[in-house]
Amino acid sequence: MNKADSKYFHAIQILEDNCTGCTACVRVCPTEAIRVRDRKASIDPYRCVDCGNCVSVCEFHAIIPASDPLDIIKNYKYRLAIISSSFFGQFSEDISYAIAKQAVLQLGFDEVAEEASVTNFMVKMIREYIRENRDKRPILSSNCPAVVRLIQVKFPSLLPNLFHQEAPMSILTRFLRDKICREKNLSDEDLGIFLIVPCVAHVTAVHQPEGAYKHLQDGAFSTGMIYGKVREIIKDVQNHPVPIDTYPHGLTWALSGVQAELVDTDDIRALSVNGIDNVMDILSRVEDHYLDQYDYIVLRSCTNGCVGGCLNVENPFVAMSRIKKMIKEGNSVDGDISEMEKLYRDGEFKVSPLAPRPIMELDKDIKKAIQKMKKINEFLTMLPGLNCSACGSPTCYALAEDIVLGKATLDDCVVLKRKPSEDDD
Amino acid sequence: MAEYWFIADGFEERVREHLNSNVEAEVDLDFGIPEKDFNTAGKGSSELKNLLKRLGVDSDILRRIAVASYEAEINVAAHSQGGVMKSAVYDDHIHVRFVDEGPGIADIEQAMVPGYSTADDLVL
Repeated sequence: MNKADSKYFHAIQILEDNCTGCTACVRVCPTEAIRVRDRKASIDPYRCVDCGNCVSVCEFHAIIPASDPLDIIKNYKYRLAIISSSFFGQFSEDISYAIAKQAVLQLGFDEVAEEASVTNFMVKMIREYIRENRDKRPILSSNCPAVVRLIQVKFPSLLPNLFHQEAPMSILTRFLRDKICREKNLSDEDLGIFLIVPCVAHVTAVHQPEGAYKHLQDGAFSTGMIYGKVREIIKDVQNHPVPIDTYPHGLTWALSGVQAELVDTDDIRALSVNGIDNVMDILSRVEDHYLDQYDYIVLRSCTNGCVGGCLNVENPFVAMSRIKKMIKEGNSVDGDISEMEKLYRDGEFKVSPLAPRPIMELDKDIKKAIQKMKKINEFLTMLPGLNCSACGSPTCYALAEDIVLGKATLDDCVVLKRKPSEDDD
Repeated sequence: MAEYWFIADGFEERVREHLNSNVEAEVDLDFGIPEKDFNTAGKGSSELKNLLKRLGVDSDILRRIAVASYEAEINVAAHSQGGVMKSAVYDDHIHVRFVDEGPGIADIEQAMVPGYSTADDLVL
């Protein structure tokens, strides 16, 4: 993937030929990062948080998620896939958890690992972190890359509240990279580690991690793409099953609500929130100190958590129901977490303090910002107030702001243009 | 109309100066607060917060204003017959006024006693 062109890489691509300029994406973007000008949509890389709303809403196949092609695994001698816990909710119930996992292995990997295998460890680590950081309330989950970026751009005052440790798939990467290289006698370059992910935010995070001290993974595959390839070979796999470890109890990680229940205990009160509009509402309340009674808040940009990611194939409610069934019926192998705990205590999973990326400020100088705001309000009184987005900005306010910041003109307003001004009568 | 003031120590002069000056606000933001409308109560303070973020106001100050204005807005919705939240931004200070219509307070002196409440004894 080409990631050199922008300071802020995003796993979302606009195909201009397909774009009709309909503005559906403009209206669903939570950070107002998209504008349509000359009937083509474009994304401001500084504002985009990779939530995937635009990908899901585009009817013209003009905004497409970018992820790596499976072929790239051929560049590595030993290939490890790490599967997001939402993956197993994608399959109909005649395809068992173990069979689906075996099929992924047979796509050309030497080993498969699961995000779900570290859920117990994560819960333990999160609880410990909460107890060690009593001065910060509430602690905010950092696993969802879209939420982390949302906080950077819209709620920078809450950055210190983020759980400043790696997400489970990155922890697993750190842990397994050393372990596999040691045991198989491989050099770092020989080992390729790939994630199978449910959303564009995770693809972006693989290619441009926030706060990570070093590059971790070698690629990210979309759940939908892997699902298609698994379906091609599934009959054969079903006829030749091999024993394989599964972690049904760990699959809770894919469901934000269940994850909060796991962390919640006598001295830790947890709240779960999913869907980016709800997340923004809750973050605003956290800012007001209105939710200080919570010790931990699980925040997920997609509906129901990672099962709602835009690279999944199954409806988030159906996938959630299937995963709940697996959790209820399955027997988990409880892996030995002592080695991982040691790494945690050695500070190996720490991330550097995340920096704000404020998008709302009109100017660094508050006096200039006030003058700009005055001008915005003047333009706002001239605009019709319909918030129709036909100009290509999401609201009349956004157009007024664009005009003052030199990115648009009053002529962009379609309604004003149509209505003959009173002088012409 | 009765007005009661709490002024933080050290700010008496600054507040008096503001009240006596007739300088027009740089940016105004008015929000109606309908009586007992808890669906919209809180919207005004949330909009004020967005405005202050756009102006680049320091996040600690922003959070203090947000807490105070949210509290006041909810109180107006809950206890008055409706009112209005009037925010005025100047280049070095902010004045947020809550103006409401209501039954008033029967005994203002008593109401100012810390801990005094007209709530039922069962409410702790």
